[in-house]
Amino acid sequence: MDGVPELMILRLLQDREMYGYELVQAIKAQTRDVVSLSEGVVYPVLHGLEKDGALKSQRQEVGGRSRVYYSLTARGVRRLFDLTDSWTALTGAIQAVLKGPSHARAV
Amino acid sequence: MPAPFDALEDRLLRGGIAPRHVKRYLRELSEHLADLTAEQQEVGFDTEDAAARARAALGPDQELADAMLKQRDFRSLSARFPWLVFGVLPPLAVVLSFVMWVMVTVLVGVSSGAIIPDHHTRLPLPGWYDWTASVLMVAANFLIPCLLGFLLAWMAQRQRMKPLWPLLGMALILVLSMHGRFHADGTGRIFLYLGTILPIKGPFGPGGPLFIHWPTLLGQAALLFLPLAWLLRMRRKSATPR
Repeated sequence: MDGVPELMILRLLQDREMYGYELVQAIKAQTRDVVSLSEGVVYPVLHGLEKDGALKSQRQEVGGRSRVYYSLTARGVRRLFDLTDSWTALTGAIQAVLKGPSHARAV
Repeated sequence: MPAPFDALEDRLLRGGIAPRHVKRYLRELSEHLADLTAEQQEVGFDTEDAAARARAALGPDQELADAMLKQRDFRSLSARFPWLVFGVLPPLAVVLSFVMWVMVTVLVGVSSGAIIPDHHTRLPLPGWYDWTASVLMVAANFLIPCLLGFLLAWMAQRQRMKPLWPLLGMALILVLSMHGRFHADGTGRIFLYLGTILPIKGPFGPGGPLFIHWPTLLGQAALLFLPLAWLLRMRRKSATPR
């Protein structure tokens, strides 16, 4: 599962900026709770992506509460495309294995 | 009662994560925890249950710590290169601060007209400057090692490092033991004696080896190692269960 939280975070932030709690809720909603991670572990991933220049953050006051909003940078978009390609290739390969050797022979 | 992330903070700092990254992580975790607690209260749980469920959803300390410790880039300089921070930089800092202090003393004299930078003009120094320069030099002798000692102890405490590291830095400062003495005679001649226990011959002092003023040295040693006592006391305090 290495790289999965990173991929999901980058994909979700491609649409709009979000703060940590919001991101975790979005991951839970979109994966229908299939991907469940300890909610706090999202922050080291966010901080790491920010350090690499894939994200930028800004503290904002919303509804009387201070939150750190994260958004994607151009480098983050490139990283998202790279990760998406790798992930698509990997899932394709796994699908092929799961379909079994008989299916491969038939083709 | 311990705060919700005290143990996690301790674990991260011991793991070498830089304090500023730990602070930021804990702040965002606290904000997330507040959101989770509010969410549980909206569902109908009372304050205590909501807080417990929120904390569980956030993740166990071990997992939260491991996620951060995996990010090697967030390690502090002193965790990555303790020999540099506690072994190389302290002696350098002593020499630099001492040289700067001497320069400030001379600059004060020149800019106020107390010292005339001309070898042919010899005027007795004004009494106030003689006094100020002597006080500044005594302050340098005792303040610099004391401040550096506290800095090392504070850094070690802040980053939960072994007391052996600041002890190494303090020992190296003591080996260098730079100290000085200002003296002006009635004809305006200034003598600036610099001392160290290292066996170096230098251009300072009355033409011989650098002077060693043992009472100053002993005072420096006492002030230097005083912060170590503070550090050990803090360690003992944090080791006792809250």
